[in-house]
Amino acid sequence: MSNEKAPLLQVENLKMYFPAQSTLFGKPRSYVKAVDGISFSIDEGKTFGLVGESGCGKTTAGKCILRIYRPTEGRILYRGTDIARMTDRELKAFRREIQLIFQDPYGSLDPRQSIGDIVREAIAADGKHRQKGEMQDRVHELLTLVDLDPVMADRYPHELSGGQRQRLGIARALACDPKLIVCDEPVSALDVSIQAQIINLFEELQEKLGLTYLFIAHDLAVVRHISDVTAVMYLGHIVETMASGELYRNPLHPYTKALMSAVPITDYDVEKQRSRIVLEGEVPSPIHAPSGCSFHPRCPYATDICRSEMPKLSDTGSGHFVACHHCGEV
Amino acid sequence: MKANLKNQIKVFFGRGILSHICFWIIILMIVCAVLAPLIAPYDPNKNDLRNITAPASAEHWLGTDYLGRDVFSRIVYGARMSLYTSVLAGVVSAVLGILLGLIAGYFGGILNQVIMRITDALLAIPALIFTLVLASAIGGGVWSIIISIGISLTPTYIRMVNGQVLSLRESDYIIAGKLIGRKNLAILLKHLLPNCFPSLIVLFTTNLGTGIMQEASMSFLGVGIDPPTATWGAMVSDGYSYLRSVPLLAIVPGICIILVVVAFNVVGDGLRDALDPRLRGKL
Repeated sequence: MSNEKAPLLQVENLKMYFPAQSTLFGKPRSYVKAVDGISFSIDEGKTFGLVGESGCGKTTAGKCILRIYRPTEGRILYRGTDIARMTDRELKAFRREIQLIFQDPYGSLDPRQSIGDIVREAIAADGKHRQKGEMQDRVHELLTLVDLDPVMADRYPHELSGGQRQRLGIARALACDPKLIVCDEPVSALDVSIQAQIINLFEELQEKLGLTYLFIAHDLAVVRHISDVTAVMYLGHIVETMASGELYRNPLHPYTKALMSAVPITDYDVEKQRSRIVLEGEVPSPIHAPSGCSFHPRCPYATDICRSEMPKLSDTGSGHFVACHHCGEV
Repeated sequence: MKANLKNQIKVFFGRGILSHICFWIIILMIVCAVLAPLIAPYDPNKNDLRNITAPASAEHWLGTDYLGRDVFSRIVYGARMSLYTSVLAGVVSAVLGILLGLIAGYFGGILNQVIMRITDALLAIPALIFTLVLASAIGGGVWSIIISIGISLTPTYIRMVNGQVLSLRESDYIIAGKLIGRKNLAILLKHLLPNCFPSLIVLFTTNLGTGIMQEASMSFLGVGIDPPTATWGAMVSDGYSYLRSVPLLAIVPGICIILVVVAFNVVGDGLRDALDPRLRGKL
C-alpha cells in the first residue's frame, strides 16, 4: 500500500433498503430502511464498536460490509477499493480477507462436519496446493491459537460447549488469514464468564495477528472494553461517534445518555444517587421512519427543528461526533 | 467413524421392539429375494392341475393356487419382484428428484417456478392413475413399471430437496462457506446435499413401501408385470375370487404387502432418528 495512513475500511453514506410491501405485480411499494446513510472508517489494527438496540441496523451494516448483502447505495472502501458494487467474481480477491464471527456459534457450524473438517475446509478454500503434513500442522496451529485442544479435531460441533463452538468459529475465520473481522454480537449468546474469555481471546489475537475488528454488540460494557472507537446507531443512522472512553465520561446525544444510564453500576451508593433516564415509547418502524431526527418522538428535549430537519453528524472536538440539534444544551 | 456407527445403531434399536421386528421383516424379505431359488421348494410357475387349491400341508406349506402352483414359493419369488421393482423405481425417482430439486432450490427464479409448478401439477394427479396411464403409454414389461412408478414418486423428492435447500440456503454455515471463499457448486454438494441426506434416506425408505404398494396395486389391476411372474399384487388379485373357499390365497400375499410397507415406514422413522447428528449419543 502506498498510503500507510489510509484507513483499512471506509464506509461512506451506506444505505441498505429492503422492499417491504409490494404491489400485485411485485413492484415494491415501501422499503425498510435498515441502514440509512451511515459513514465511518476503521484504522488498521483498531477495533470499531457499533452499538444500538435490536433492529437499529447494525447487523445489516455488517452484512453489507461482508457483501452478504448488496448495498442499495454508498461506498465501501476496503484498502482503497470500493467493494460495494462488485460482482461475486470481482469480490473473490477480497472475500477471505474480511471474515465474520456469528452471533449463534452453533448455527454457523455445519452439524455434519467434524471440527477438523471445518478448519481444513476453510484452509483449503483458497485453492492452493498443500502437503498433507502441512495441512495437519496448520489445523493444529489454528486450534491451539484459539485455545482448543487439537485432539478434539474428530469431534462434532454438537459435542462442544458454547464457548468452544465460538472458538471454533474464530479458528475458521482465522484460517482465511483475514485482515478485518466483523464480529456480529459474538458473545451475546454466551455465559458471562465465557464472554470474558472470548473477549480476551479477541484482544490476544488482535495483538498477535494485527487484526482489525468491527465489533457489533448491544452490550455497552463489552463494547467499551474492547473497542477504540464506538458508534451508536439508532434506526439506521449513526447518532454519535466517539473514542470509547468518552462514551462513559461524556455522552452527548440524548439517546446515548439514556443508553448509558441503563447500564447497571455495581457500586450501590453510586447506583442509588444517579438518576435514570427512562425512554418512553417504542422504536418506530423503519418502514415509516419519523421525519427530521429519527429519535425525536422519544426524545425529552425535542423541539420543532428536530421534527422537521435531520441533524447532521458534527464534530464537537477531539473526534467526538454527534447528530443532534441541541447537543450543546442538553 | 466406528464409534459413530455404533451410536447410530444404538439409537435405531433403542426406539423399542417395533424397530427390531420391522428391521428383521425387511432382512427376511431381502434374504427371500436374494436367495429365492434356494428357499422356494418348488418352481413358482409350475402348474399342477391335479392338485389345485390344495389346503396347507407338509408338502405345500401354504397350499396351492387355482393352477396348482405352490403358494409359498410364489410368495418368496414375489418378494424378489417387489423388492426389485421398488428399489429400482426408488433409485430412478431419487436421482431425478434430487437433481431437479437441487437445481430448483439453488438457482431459484424462473427455473424454480417452472420445476415447482410442474411438480405441483404432478402431485395433483392421483399417483395410481398417473402410473397406470404412464405404464400403458410406455408399454408392458418390468421396466415400464419401474419407470412409471419412479416418475410418480419423483415429485416427493423434488419437494423435499427444494424445501431443504431453500431453508438451508439462508443458514449461517452456508453464509460462512461463502465467506471463506467456497464456490457455489462446492457448497451445494458439500454442505447442502449432505444435510439433506437424513431426510432423503427416510423418504427413500418410506418410498420403497409406497413403491411396493403401487406395484401391487398395478399387478392387482392387471396392468403390472405380465403373468405368470409371481408378484404379490397379482396373487391377491388371483386369490380374491377364491376368498370364500380358499381365503389363504389372497390373505397371505396381502399380509406380506402390509407387513413390508409398515416395516419400511417404521425403519424409515428409525433411520431419521439414528442419522440426526444432534441425537447421537443421546436417547
